[in-house]
Amino acid sequence: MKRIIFLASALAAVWVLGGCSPLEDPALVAPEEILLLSVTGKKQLVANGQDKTVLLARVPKEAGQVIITFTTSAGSFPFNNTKIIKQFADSIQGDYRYARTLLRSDTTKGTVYLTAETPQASRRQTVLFIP
Amino acid sequence: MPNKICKLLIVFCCALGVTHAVLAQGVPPPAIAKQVEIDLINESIKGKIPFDAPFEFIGTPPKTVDVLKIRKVQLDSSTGTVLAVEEATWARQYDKSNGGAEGEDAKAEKFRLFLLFKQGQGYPTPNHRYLFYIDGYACTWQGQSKVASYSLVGTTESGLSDHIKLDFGLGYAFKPRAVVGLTTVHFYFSPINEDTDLNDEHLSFSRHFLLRTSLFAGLSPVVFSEHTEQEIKRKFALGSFVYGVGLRSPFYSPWFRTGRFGRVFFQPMRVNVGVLNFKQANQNVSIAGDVNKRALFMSITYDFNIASILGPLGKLVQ
Repeated sequence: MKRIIFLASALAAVWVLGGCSPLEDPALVAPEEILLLSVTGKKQLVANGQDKTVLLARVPKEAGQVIITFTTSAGSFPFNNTKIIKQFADSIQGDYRYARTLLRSDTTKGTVYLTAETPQASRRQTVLFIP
Repeated sequence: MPNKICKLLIVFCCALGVTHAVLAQGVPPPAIAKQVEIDLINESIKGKIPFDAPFEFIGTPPKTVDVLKIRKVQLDSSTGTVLAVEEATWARQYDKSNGGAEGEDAKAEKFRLFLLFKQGQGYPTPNHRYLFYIDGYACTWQGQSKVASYSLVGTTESGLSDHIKLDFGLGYAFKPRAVVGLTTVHFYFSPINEDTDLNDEHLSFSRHFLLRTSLFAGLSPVVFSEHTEQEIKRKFALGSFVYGVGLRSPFYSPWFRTGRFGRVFFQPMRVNVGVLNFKQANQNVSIAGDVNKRALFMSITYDFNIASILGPLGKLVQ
């Protein structure tokens, strides 16, 4: 009888320890959870070659070392358009890691397309260069 | 493509193994009882008493005894529970060609005492000591007269290996809708005697429960098909970890008749429910690591009789 009770307890333990986990499905992941590009400074820059704004790229904290390449259709990056996100000691904030870069305007006027790219994803934003 | 060929080969080998294992067990034997040799003169039993199975005593009868009868079988001591045994009798057969007279050949005859346990009363159970009381009678013109009484002590010993059984088979994991191959080790809370016929009505309900229910753990080295967005990956190098509960011979019991070949095909079968532990690539492509997952699965497995699968080589292993 003791053995039956023990066995029944063991079966119950297996039942409790069992269960399912939800499966991984890339379709369930919001694009901003993979890579987010945002313009944290001004959205409109004066097209004088001097005005600046800050671009921010965000990846999940678990992403580890990620090389983020920023590109722009006009203007320039006065420092570097390629950021290795792990190099930033303060890159972890909450559940994410961040990379920043500075965009400087040129004399082109109009909409400027900005891209942040990792080996896995690419995101686009726009800023306006105004006279 | 080579991966598919490998999987097909594995399926083929598994099927071959099962077929071989099943066929190697042959046609179900008529209830042949295991023989246990006893020495009445020294009142000793040579070897162990089998548990959960019928058996018979064999030996050489004392010269003065013409008839042997088992009076009773008692558990543990002279005050222990008496196992219900229908009268088991052996009588000396005389050579009729010799006019019925006693001859030296007749005296050398061996006795066989088949112990008839009553239905539902159970056989000897593992790891117990039993007392067997046997009476000897001499035949005279007036009838039978008791000339001797023997009491023998026997044990039904079992080892750790009797609690552990290996098997392999196929499983279906519900959520990933995956068919997996698996090999598992089953742990029984009661020792298992390979000679036990689970269709035997002598076994009590509690014995049926203990002889059939097991906890198992093992590995699932292959995934044959899956319907998941992210591929199922092995948890370890050798396979994904599985554990759960097994039910042995669910389609072979006194309550579920399966015909003549039931013992061959259904007694070695187990139906199991458990948890498949595997890995999947993270659904977020930015995160390189894998994620541990669990899924309920059901499987049908067969006893893994390595000796029968190896064929002639198996005899060397044994």
